[in-house]
Amino acid sequence: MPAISSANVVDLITGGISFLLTLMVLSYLIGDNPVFLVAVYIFIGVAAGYAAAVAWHQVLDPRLIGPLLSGSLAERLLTIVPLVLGLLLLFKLSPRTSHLGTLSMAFLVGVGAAVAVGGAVMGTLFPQTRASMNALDLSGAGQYWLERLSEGVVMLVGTVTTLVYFHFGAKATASGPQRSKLVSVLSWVGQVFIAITFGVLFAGVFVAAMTALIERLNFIITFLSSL
Amino acid sequence: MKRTSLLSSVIAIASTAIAIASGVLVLAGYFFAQKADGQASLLTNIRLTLLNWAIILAGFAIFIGILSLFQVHFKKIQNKQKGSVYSLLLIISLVATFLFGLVKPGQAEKVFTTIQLPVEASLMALLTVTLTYASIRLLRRRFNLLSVIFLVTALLILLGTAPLPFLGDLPGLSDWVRPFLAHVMAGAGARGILLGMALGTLTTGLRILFGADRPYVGNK
Amino acid sequence: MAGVLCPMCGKSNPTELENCQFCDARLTPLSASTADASPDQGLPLGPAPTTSSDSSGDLPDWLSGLGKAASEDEEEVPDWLASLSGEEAGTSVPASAPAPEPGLNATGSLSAGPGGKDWMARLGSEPQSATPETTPQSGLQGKGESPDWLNQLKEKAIDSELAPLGDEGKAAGADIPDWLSNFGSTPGTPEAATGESLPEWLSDLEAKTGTESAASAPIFSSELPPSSSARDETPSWLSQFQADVNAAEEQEAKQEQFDAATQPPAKENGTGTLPDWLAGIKPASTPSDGTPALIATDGGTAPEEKDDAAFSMEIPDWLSKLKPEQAAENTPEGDTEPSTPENLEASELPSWVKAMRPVESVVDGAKATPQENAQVTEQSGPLAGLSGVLPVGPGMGSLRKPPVYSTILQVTDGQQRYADALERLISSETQPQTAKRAHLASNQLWRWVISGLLILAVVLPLITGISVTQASKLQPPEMVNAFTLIGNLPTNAPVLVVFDYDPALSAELETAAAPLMDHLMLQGPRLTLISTSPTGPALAERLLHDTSASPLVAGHNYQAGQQYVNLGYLAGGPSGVLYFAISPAKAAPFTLDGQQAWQLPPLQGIQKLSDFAAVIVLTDNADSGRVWIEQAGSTIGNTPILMVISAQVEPLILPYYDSGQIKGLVTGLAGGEAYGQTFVRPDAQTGLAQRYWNSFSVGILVAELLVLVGALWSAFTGWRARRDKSGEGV
Repeated sequence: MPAISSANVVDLITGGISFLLTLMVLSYLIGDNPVFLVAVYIFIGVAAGYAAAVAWHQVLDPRLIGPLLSGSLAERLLTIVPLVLGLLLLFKLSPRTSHLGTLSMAFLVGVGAAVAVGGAVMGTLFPQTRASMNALDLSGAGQYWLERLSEGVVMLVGTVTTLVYFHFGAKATASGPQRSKLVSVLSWVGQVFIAITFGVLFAGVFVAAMTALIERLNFIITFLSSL
Repeated sequence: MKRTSLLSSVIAIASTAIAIASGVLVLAGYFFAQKADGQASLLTNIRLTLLNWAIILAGFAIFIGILSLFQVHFKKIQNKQKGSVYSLLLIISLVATFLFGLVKPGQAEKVFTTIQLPVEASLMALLTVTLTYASIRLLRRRFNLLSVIFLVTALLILLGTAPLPFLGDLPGLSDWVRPFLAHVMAGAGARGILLGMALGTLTTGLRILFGADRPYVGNK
Repeated sequence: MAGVLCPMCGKSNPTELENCQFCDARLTPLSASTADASPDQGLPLGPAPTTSSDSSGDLPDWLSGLGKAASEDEEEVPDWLASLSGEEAGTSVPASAPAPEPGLNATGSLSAGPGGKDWMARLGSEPQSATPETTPQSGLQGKGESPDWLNQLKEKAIDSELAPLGDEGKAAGADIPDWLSNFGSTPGTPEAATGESLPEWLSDLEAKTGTESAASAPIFSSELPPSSSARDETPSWLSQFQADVNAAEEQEAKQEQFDAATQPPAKENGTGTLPDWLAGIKPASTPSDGTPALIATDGGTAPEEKDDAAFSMEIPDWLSKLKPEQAAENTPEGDTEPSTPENLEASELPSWVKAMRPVESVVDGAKATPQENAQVTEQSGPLAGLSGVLPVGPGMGSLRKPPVYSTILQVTDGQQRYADALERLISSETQPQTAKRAHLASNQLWRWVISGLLILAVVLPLITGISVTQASKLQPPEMVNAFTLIGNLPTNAPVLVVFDYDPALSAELETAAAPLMDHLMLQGPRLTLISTSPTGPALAERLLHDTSASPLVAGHNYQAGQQYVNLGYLAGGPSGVLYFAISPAKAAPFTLDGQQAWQLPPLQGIQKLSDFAAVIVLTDNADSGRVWIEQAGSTIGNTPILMVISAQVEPLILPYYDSGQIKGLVTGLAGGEAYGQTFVRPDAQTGLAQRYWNSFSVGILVAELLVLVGALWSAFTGWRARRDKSGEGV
């Protein structure tokens, strides 16, 4: 009879806890019940605690505490600024003192806006526009030029009409603001493309959920068979 | 009262200056990243410093979020509101996991794989039933052309994703219909969405960098 | 010495006064100014007896006067009298009829008078016409003048039903005319008086009225006290008459207010001016406008309705009720005991009194009011015996609490039933209706059916292990590119692997990434793991080491610090990725376990992002994938970016593949299965993707069928519901 190692015991215990929690969450299929709520609230607490522990160990400790305690003078001086900004950010917890965290928020917003602007322009706007134009590039298509052309036309029409749909400018008329007829027609075509896109997205979410269901049921079967 | 308003005004002005300055410095680094000799420019170093500070502040932001969560549920327990028992469970698990992660960071992964991962995966599995039920009820709630297009597209994609049991792939469905729908039609729509998002990001970012938008100031 | 009793306050006043010295009320009614001289005159009963009563064959003066007046003025006979007597108008007054002053006219009616007008009308409207000196006493003594008491009678606007005026007890006293002595005679006996024959008109009137009873006399009961024997004695019948009147007044007070045309009570006068039969009668009220006196029903019994003849057509009720033989049976004078139905004959209300009577329901309600008992009963004055009467004047009458009327709604049974039905209807509308559980139950039932079918479809292939679905033959171009790139990587190439997916979709990403990672790790690369999610490092460790997650990848047994480095969590989102893209060493200096990462073998020679041979991003989030593409794209150079993504972000990442920003793409379980079919391991081991494939295929099919059938059924029911709704709206 093989000896039961501590690792096996630990695996058994952790497996059992995982099994129990899986059943507690899947009990929601029967109906909302306190067992499901217990599992969810425990999960939220564990997730928050784990994130806090990771943030401490992998962000604050190596980037803030370490340089402050064992860094050079320049590093320490440079580290004081994020320390002060971080402590000011903590004042955001209380509505009465939240105005003190404005400086930190402003810094975060400024840096984030610049990073987002640079990435959007360099990483999406230019390349995607170029790609839209290249959709009608038939060089290298060979015998499939018609297929390439049709795909390119559809891609171009879809891209443009989708962009037109998100244009919400309108002229002021007697009966209220109204779009021009051309814009209305193009936006309707864009809606069709958007509906297809969301249909594909919906199918993708369903497939992902189905995979998760298969994995969880497989885990239950595996755990029960291992007992 | 006067002192408070003066302080608020000073903070508002300083915040705007900080936001614009930091943003401009980071953005300028896109264009002036390197010197002629390939060395990193001063601007790049400033940019990196600012990005480092942003990462540290992001760590603080995680703690603020968790402390806020703690605050809310603690108040619920204090006021003995309905569901405060669950809040107590949450706080106990939060504190226990954090302390355990602080003391034994290497073992904290066990807690993650034992508790967090199974529950999250099970919650995702529940989505299967919910999405199926929602798609069944869709046409009852909203019966129009776009809803029909949405549902038909989803069904065709699903049919083309996996072959049918005992029947295999349907001819034309997996190799032509699905790719056309997913790559061409959906791709076109997605590109339009991406371009729209990029344009919006550009507009909003520039407004912040010019000081026209100040979301960090809050209500006065 | 007896003065004049005030009709309001009931106090004695000298006879010469016109107004009461206490309450300033008129002592004599205005309509009988001739009666002011004798305010204690009796009630206006009728023509003043003017003739003496000792004349056996002669008419009393007052009757003669009545006749004279009638003869003098031969104007038309009042209709009421004409119809009663059946004689032509203008018929001369019978010889026995008194002179009409006011008195009987030529026809014998009592309506004629000076000027030939209706004597009753003249009684009420021309009080001045009466001779001031006329007093009942003088009338009784046979003087030619109208006695005051007669004038007082003019105030009454009563039905002129004349009771049989048969001779009455002339023998009772020299002062009592025969017709009065016959007042107690049985109706229908036209000639009851001794030595005196009733005028024809009186006889006719009596005959017409017949034996009808319950005609309430205005003041007097139907019974008169027995004829008095002496002038100065109150006849017993008169006393009884007075008592009955008082009782009747009390009864009437409960029904409603009737104007009383009363006369100051006939007061016994030593001079003999007031007839004895009137002497004991108390004035009920001061007549103001000739309206009739209070109607008092006898014994509380509802007076029998008599024919509502016109006022001028009827004999005064009190006349019809006067019965001499009943006088002896009457109770003594002053008996104010409320008459009972057993004691008194029910009197009949005249028609005009009936018309003035209030609504029965109010009267009944007033009767039922318990506060009635608390009301004060007038003890004196013309309203003696009545309760609920307003005081004489401010401060003069006894102040009492205003009557409290019952607030109980008087409803009939039928009305109560209707009210109950209405209340039930209203209450049913206001009661909250419980929500229909049928709809909720159908939702829950649907969920159970869907859950059961899906779970069954997934579990059966897993348990049985039966392969019902063939392997995927799909080879998407993006997957092929990824496969090609991985295959072209040199051995020991540094590869950056980014773990940016959540634990919720770890199953899909692990099954999708496992074949690629397995393929990659067969090349022997140096792996650098990093994540922008706090749970990423843990998931990376799980993929590399947990056989349950990926037995193929775990089988490579990669060691931390030797074959791979886990740089841990990179905070800051896009800022962190940009920082890492610009300076990876500064952005992530330490490993997960705190070691200096960039001095370890896996990261040897790596200075910037472009030093990596490939960057593989595992993500379930379109934003995360876009961030890596945007931020790393500017510094990555020619290093290819490969992505393993969840099926839910495929449409949003494909444009970046189309634009060439990413070189390879593996999407979801199907992509992993396809990669696994493309890359066949030398040992032909398969991963979890192949294990899940059958369940995946069957589960997707069941879900498709449920969606198809359910959506069609929902569309049909929704269309039918909308049609019904539009039909109801029309």
